[in-house]
Order: sequence, then C-alpha cells, then structure tokens
Amino acid sequence: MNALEPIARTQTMARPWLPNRGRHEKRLLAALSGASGERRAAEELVESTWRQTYAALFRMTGGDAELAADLTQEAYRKAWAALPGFDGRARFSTWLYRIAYTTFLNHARRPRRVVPLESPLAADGEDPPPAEEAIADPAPPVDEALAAQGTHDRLRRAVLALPEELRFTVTARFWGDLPVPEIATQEGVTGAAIRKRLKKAMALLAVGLEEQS
Amino acid sequence: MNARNEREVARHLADMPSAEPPAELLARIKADIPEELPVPGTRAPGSESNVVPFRLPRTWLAAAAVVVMLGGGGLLTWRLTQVVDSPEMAMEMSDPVAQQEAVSEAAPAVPERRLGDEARDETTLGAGEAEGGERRRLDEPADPPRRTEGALSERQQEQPLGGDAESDRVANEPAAVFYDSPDTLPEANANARDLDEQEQPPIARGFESSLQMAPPPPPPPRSQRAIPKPQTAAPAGPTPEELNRAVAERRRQVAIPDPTPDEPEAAATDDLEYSDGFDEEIMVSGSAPIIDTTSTTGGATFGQGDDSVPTRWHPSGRSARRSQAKAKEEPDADAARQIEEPVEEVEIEAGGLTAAYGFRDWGVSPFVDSSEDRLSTFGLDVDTGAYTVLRRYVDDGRLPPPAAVRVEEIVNWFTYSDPFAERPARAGETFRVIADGAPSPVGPGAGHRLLRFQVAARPVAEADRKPAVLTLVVDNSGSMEGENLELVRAGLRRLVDNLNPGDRVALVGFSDDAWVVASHGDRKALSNGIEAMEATNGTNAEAGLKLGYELAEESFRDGCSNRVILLSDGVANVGATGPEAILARIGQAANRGIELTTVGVGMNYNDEMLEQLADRGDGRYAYVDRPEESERLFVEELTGTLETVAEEARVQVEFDARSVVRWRLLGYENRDIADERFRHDHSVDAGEVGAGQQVTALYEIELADDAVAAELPADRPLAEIKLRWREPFGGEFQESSQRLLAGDLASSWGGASRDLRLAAVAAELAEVLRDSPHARGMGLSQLVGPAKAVAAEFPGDAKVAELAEMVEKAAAIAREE
Repeated sequence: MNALEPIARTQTMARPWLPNRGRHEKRLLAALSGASGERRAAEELVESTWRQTYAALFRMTGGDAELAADLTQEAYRKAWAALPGFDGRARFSTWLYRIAYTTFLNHARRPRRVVPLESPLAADGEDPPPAEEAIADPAPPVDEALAAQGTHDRLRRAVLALPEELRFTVTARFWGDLPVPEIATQEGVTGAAIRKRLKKAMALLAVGLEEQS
Repeated sequence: MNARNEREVARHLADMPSAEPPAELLARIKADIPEELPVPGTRAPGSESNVVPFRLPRTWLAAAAVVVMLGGGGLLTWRLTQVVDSPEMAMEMSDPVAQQEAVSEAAPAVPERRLGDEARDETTLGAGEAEGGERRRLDEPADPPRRTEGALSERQQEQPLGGDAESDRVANEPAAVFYDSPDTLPEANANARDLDEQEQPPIARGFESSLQMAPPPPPPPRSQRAIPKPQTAAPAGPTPEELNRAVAERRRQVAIPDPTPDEPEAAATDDLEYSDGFDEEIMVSGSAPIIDTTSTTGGATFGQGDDSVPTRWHPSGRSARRSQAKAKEEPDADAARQIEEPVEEVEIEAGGLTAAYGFRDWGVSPFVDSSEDRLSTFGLDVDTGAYTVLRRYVDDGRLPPPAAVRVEEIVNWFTYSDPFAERPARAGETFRVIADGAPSPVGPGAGHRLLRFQVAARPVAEADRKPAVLTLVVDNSGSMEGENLELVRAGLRRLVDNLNPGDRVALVGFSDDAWVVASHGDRKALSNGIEAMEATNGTNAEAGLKLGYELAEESFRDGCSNRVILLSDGVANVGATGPEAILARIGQAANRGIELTTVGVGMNYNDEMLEQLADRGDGRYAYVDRPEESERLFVEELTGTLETVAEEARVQVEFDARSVVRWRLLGYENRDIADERFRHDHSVDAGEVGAGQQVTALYEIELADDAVAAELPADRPLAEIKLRWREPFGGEFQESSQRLLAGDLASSWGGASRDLRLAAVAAELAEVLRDSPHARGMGLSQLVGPAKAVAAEFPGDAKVAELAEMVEKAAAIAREE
C-alpha cells in the first residue's frame, strides 16, 4: 500500500498575489499591481531571476547557449502574459521556473524535422524555429561528438525521459536550484512527498542510465 | 537498494555544467516587458467576474488580448502539461526502459492549437473571468491516471484537454487548486498592505469585545529549511563504465515489491542516502530494525486515570451523525479529502477597509507505511500561536479556518508534567523524554494506539540564569496607538520587575526613524522611557532593528544571553529596499550569538514578517493578545525566553516495522525534515529550545495484527526517539535516544496518563477543526465530555479549564452553523 500523498487544501491568501516567501519579490509583485513603478518592478524581477532561469534552461538543453537564451526570453514573455494566474502561493521564481520548464518541453516536443527557411511552422501560431537547426530534443544527438559530455548528456536525456511528475521535480531541484519546500508549494504537496519523488527518480535514473548506454 | 549509486546520480545531476548567460540577453528580456502588465492573481476560476483588476483601461484589454494571443499558444501547452501532472503514485518502477523509449520518441502528442482556438479558449486570460471551459466539479474525478508505463503522449491524450487542468489535478490527486484564489478586492488589499502608512482605523470598543474584527492570523509556519544548493564539487565519481556495471547489479534490486512487515531487512535498505553533494558521511539511523531488548524506558508515568472515562469517544448525536455522514462519503478514512466547500475567507472590517487574512496550509500528514518509511524527522522548535488564534476566533463566535489550526501548536500550548520536578537535571543532561501511549480513543480499529513523546528541556532557576544583555526594540508607530502600546508597556514593566541584577537592558524606539531611549545598564532611563513611549507616524522597522543591533553588538558579552527583542504589531515590510539587508544583519548577529525574539501584539497582528525575522535570528516569536499572555511571556517564561539550552534541535522517531504497521505524526507538517538530513548539522534549520520548555509530539500508530492478537512482551520496543542538538554558544552536537516499549502503553484509555489524555483532547480538537480526514467523523460535541473530564483532572490549571470552555463554545458555534 502506498502512503497517500498528503492533502494540501486550497488556501486563502492574505494578499493573493503576494508570495509567502521572498519579501523582495513580494514587494515587487505588489508594485506590479500598483499604479506606478510596475515597469521598474518587472525589470527588477527579471534582474533577480534571469540568471537562474538561463542556467536551468542551459542545462536542460544540454549546453546549447543560443537556444537557452531564446527559451529564456520566451519564458519571460509567457510569464508576463500568465501573471493573472499567479496566485503567489509559491515564489515568483518558482512559478517562473515552471514556465521555463514547459517552454523547454514545448520546444522539445516539436516535430523534429529540419525546417526549411521558406516554410516556417507559422500555421500553429508558434514562433518558427530558428533558421539554424537547433531544436533541442532528448533523443541522442546526431553528432556524437557534440555529446562529449558523456555521462552528463546521457543523464540529461534520462532525466528528460522520466515521467512528468518526477521529471519536473528533479529538474527543478537540480537544475532550477529550487529548494524542496518551494517545489512542494508549487506542486501542492508536502516536502516529504517531494523527497519521495526524488528518491524514486534517482532509482529510475540509475537504471535508465544503464539502458541508454 | 544501493544508495551509493543514487547518490552519484544526484551528484552528477548537480554537477551538470552551467554557463554565464550572454550579456545582451538581459536587455532583450527587459525589452520584451509589455507596456501594460497584467495584474497578478486576478484570475479566479469558478468565480464569475467578481474579481476585477482595479485598473482596467480599455487599451489594456486590447493589449492584453494581443499579448494573450501571442502567449496563449505557449500558455495553453503549459496548462496542458499541467494536465499531465497527474500523480505517478501508481507508476511502477519496473519498466522504465519502455517509458524512456516511448517518451524519447517525443511524438508530438500535444496537438498544435490554432490561433482561433486560443482566442476561443483564452480570451479570459487576464480579464478576471473564469477559465475557459466549465470548471469541473471537484468531486467528479477525471479519468483516473492509468497505471501505466505508457508513453507520455498517451497520458496526455486520455486527459480531456479542455477541462480545467487544475481540477483534473484535484480530482486525481487532491492537491491544492492552483488558481483557487479567493474573491478579494485588489484595491482593498492594496490598501491593507499599506496599513501602516495610512490612517489607522481606531481599534474601537476595547480589547476584549467581539468586534467585527476577526482574530489575527496565526503565526505562519516556519520558513523553509535552508536547503543548500547542490555543490559543483569536482566529481570523484565513477567512470561511466563503472556506473553501468554497478547499475546492472542494482537493477535487479530496483523492482522490489512493497516489503511486508515480515521483512524488516528489506525495508531497512530502503533508506536512501543520496546527498546533495555533501561529502559528509550520511548515517541514516539504523539499518537494522530495533531488535535488542535493553530497556531504557524513560519515566513513563501512568496516572491513576478515571476508569469511568469511556474508552472510545463514539461519535453520537446529531452533529456527529451529520459529520459521520460526510465522512461516509469517504469510505476510507485515509481517502482523499475532497475540497467541496471553499475555504472560509476571513474578512475584517476596519474602518471601511477590508482585508482578508489568510493562512498557509501545509496539509495533513497521512498514515505512513512503516515498511516504506520508518523514520519521522522534524525540527524541535514550536511556537504556540495557533492556540491563541483559535481562542480569539471562538471568543468572537466563529470557528477558525482549517489552515489556521496547527495541531502541534495547540498540543504544545499546555503545560504537562515536568520530568525534572522530582529529579533535577544531572550535569550535562539537557533533555528528558516522557514516552507513553494508550489505545487510541478515535482509532478505527483495535490495533490503533496513540503515542506521546514529551521532550522537556532542563529548567534553569531564575537565579541561575545567565545574565542577559537585552536590547528591546519597540514599535512606536501610529498603528501601535492605544491597546497595543499599552500591552507592550505593561509587559515591559513586568520584564523590568523580573530582571536579575546582572541583566543589562537597552531600549530603542522607532517610528519614522529610530532613537535610543535607554542604553545598556541605564535602568532609570529604561523605566522612564517605558512610561514615556508614545505612538506616532510610520513604521521604520529597519532603522529600529539596525540601531538595536548596533547597541547589542557594542554591548555583546560572552557567556551571557545576548538577545534582541522586537515588539511590534507586525510590520508589512522592513526597509525601503527590501528586507535582505536587515535579514543578513540579523543572520550574522545570530551566528555571533545575538538571537532575535519577536513579539507580536494586538489584534491587527500581521506576523509574516515577524516570523521570518525571528527565524533568521534563531529565536522564537510569540504573540501577545492579552495581559495574561504578556505576563506569561515576560514573567513565567522569561527564563525560557532568554536562556537557550539547546540549539539546532531536531527529533527523529524510528518505528519498529515488525510491530508497527503504520504510523502518523499529528501535525508538524511545516517542521518536516528529510530523514537523511537528521545529522546534517549545519544545513538544517532546526529549533532553539529554551530552558524549561517542552515539546510534545503525538503519533497514531497501527500495530501489526499479531501484535494485537497476542500480547506483546513488555520489553518489545515499538519506537525509538532520537534527539540531536547543539550546546549553545557553538558547542558540539549531541545525540541521545530513548525507546518506547510495549510495556509503556496503557492497556486502556482510562489507564492512560492524564497528560496523554489532555494532549489527545487538544489534538483531536485541532484535527476536527482543521477538517482532518483522520478526525473520522468526530464532532465537536463529542469532545465536550472528554474535555471536561480532562479538565477535572487538572484542577487549578487555568489553561485546561479554558480548553474545556473553548470546546463547549466551539461546539455551540458548530451547532449553529
């Protein structure tokens, strides 16, 4: 019998758009709702999170600096648009990581064919992939020389191949540098549940590494 | 399981290289910031446009629509991935290969949405209306997640795309609904945020009257533990070949079925020891089950008990039938607690302003299979604010929101018997533990027991207390006017009366800026200053704390208790540029030995900041809403407040998987520490324990069938409690442990100690009030009898008498609802 995931109830926030932690972010997000200084507040939020976001995407893409930069930019764009949905339960940086994560996944899930310059995939409303073929994908790279990292790359692919729940937890923890309580808040479970997921993921990864070799 | 390889995996993951971002990326991102930023948190699904962003220029709508279109595609796929976020509890580990192969195909299972689709579904973004699509009723489960090793794409497809991603998640895994924000008025909240700067509504009609003002929120849970970032140490890890070889060996071990209680050895190897890159030796306690028989029973005390006390609190009566009927909808007491009614929103009317106070909910711990997890680890500092808040709500004629009710804080409010009373502490002895148990009065089966671990810190006589170097930082802002400042004044008078000759106290006041009222050692200025305090103007807590810490550092004395005490009604923000500077200062001072205690006063008490300050300052925070509380804090408990006897204290309870099938810790959800971190001495933010303080933890356990049927031998260990702490002033870490034996359990509820009965009543009250599934249909009325019975056993204890009254009042309130 599996232990049940603990139940986190809906909560009433004191000020629903203000995060519980990260007082600096709290103030900035308050400014976002205010009548003035929102642009400055947004810029400050960017300044305090962009490196972390980039670093996470850099690792997810396996070291593709340009792609990581593009995805970072896209993540922020989505974040502004999705601000109304940010209830402040978790930190802004945590929520932003989620967006960056899914941005990457969307990118990775695109059909992996070389896109000729003349016919970008404009029909689905997505940005056409960059002209230089740089679609990140979790499958083995064509040129093995690029995967000189060896263990790291195999590990990266193994992580990306994890089941969704574990994958998010692992990447958030190790690449997004999010602390466990923040991940727990984001996922709506307890810290113990997150740690259990991490345990499970480590076991799976160790096996998966072997399979990929 | 070979933990070493998993540790290596973790290390490799943490070591994955990163790089500096290109310099112009920042500029690009900033350039992307839209002209009109949407307002955070205004989308509340399920609520029709009650929530309206308070600034809504028409151009913004148009701009938002455009932004939405552009971002909608990505956002939608983002939500779709949330849909996929269904619990993987059923995911078998046995076939990860198939999973990986299937997923790495990465067939685009997410259908690309057209622009038109987005317009149809996403026009609600940012406009404050309900999310596109009817919100699914929360008690209608979505398609259950398949127990599958199937591909990611399959799972996506079986989840209906149009549904509310979050309600899917709720139905499958009853986690918090991400967007379930309350209907709040942003402008009101914005005003509430600036309460300090605005004209304060008068706190009318005295202190005790039940105003429309709702009780203040409880102290929120302690801030998250400081989990260190994975370090990029040079990996001395294995080569890929070695890794593969080791993995091949381990692979057979991975797919072990759930070990039965008959195989404690297998269960023992479940303990995972992955580290975050720390090279310190991680000793997960005990890889062998508890089997030896040396008896180290602590002073298990069984009171005489009243055998006429019913052994089970059978729910009966109308309200109980009602709640039982509700409970019947969840046939399994451990089943998911469906969120059927919206969380109660607390509104306070304060001179025209409306603010909603809320509480952070850390969830309810479930029963844990001891074959999966025998260890329960948590930090040993507990505050007691939740009880005061509960009392305030009940006095006002309402029940608190479930998230405000923290079981451990309510249990720890009471004073249990002092194990040091008869036998004083020996030299070097810091803690004593009382461990006992009895058949659970609310357990569903004959095998359920309620265990109690009471950890008591050695008391220090007033005269023996180390001299204190105290710096009081008192909020003199306008919001303190009236009752709040009077409370502080009265408390400080009592404090000064109870000082020892060797204590030196300074007083700093702050409103718009900070000033020294009395410097250390100047008792005259101190007394005068206390009388002369007045409330004016704004709240510049940063200035106050800065000045206070300057004084404290100047007057710092080794071997004394150096402490800063902040008294305030709650500061919304500290410092114009954010709290980092002052938090850093507080943290550094704490490392040096200057601890921070924060005391909240008043009914508009806003404690988020105060709690965080105390946490960083390695101190505790307390809440004072009545003169009696300030009496307690500054007189009775002064020594405990001032003198710390243990730092970084944490507890680990290990259960014997043979005898204990399942266990559940009541409360402490927000003090949870990862089991493997029990001995991470410097990275875990655990608790500081003052002299004479007590911490009680209750566990509900289920004994193995054979343990129930046949009497367990009295010396059979059921659980072992381990304490780990550091001597104050940078001493060494110490550890001690004690076992709870089968013989420590009373055979009947009536035979249990009165302390256990009191703790159980308090805990059950909390469980009922927080709608815990473990309350199992118990109603408040059913607790009245047990509460009164317990109060009769504690004659002269005002707290327990108050508890019985409170249970009665709460039951009456519940009846009316």
